[in-house]
Amino acid sequence: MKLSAHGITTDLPAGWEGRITKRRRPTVVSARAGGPGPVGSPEEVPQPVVHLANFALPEERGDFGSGAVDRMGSGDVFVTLFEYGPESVGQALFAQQGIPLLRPRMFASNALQKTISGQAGCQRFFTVANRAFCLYVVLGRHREATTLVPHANTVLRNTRISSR
Amino acid sequence: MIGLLRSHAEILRRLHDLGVDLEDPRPRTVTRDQFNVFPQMPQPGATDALPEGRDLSGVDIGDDAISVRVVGVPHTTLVAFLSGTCLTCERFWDAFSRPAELGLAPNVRLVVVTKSPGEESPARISEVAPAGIPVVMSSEAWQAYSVPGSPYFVLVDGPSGKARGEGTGIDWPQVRGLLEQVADDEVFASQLEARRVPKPSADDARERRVDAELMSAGIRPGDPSLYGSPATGEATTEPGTDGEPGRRSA
Repeated sequence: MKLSAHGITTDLPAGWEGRITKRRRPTVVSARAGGPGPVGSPEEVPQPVVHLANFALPEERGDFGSGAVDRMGSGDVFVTLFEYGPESVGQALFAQQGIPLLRPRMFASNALQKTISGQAGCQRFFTVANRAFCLYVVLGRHREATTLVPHANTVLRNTRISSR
Repeated sequence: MIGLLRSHAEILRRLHDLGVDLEDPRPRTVTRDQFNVFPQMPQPGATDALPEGRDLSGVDIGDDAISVRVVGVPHTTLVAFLSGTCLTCERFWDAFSRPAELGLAPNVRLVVVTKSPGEESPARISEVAPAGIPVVMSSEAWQAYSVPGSPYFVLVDGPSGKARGEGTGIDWPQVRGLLEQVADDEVFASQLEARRVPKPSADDARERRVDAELMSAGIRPGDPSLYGSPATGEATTEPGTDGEPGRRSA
């Protein structure tokens, strides 16, 4: 199943679904806690965010999967590609070129944005087509990393990012 | 009075012309061509077969990409085909704005599908789209599910990818009733075998004994004497013992 938006294209294997979104630009009013409209600060320029998962994604998710990772089972994998603004391109943090592939030993429970017992996370920064990204992957069960990481790599291999 | 009788006779004549026989107690059936629905409801599809489940892919109200897996997942998906302009759909948009009150089973995922932005107004959909429920704008999905019009609902079993039911209603309580009916029918079917009461062994033994006695008397299956009315002098019926049905003897 193909998914394409904002210069990012992926071909999802069976059992996977995804979203490629870009949040609406927040206003001063909506930036207030509890205000209607897009969340965030009025100064920010929202960038594309890719969420891919082999489980049903809830619609209300944080950029790095809060709201979704809470629902993960032991065989589940959650992948985020979060784009940073053009000012990040060329910075040392994003020096790696190309979407990285992962290995089980890259995952750790202390790499999670939100610590959930049994889960493990991995975060990598990279640049593709002059666009800076963070790859953040969560495994539903750390002990099954050798089984789950290849699934994540399949999705990453099927993902293409083109220049703006 | 004469005028009343005349109008009554006219009603009867017209019913007769329509093929209605008031003397006939049997339920009247109609062909698909004769079947009509309320003006605001879509007609049923051209075939009685349920559609195959299909994964959903399209854009959301922000023109972002969205794909929702329907086939090969552990849960059931209720695909709601809605429009931003149909009056009946407004009731469903309103009901879906309060997901906690929908009363869906925990393993049922609700997904709304509208037509693509070229055929549907994203601005209008963004006004009515409920938070927390995925909305996929995809005319291709409407074609894949052979949707006759909106509102329309298809319930897809995730593991098998088969549609469990489809239909429409004038409001959410009616559609929820259909869903409950589907679930009840499936439970009933699955329990049907278990509900069968085994024949008591006494009945079975009695049947075997009667069969054996008939066979020894030369009366085999299909023998005319088993069916015809006994003529006087040809056969007699003796009462059985212990309240058993009488048996026929030559």
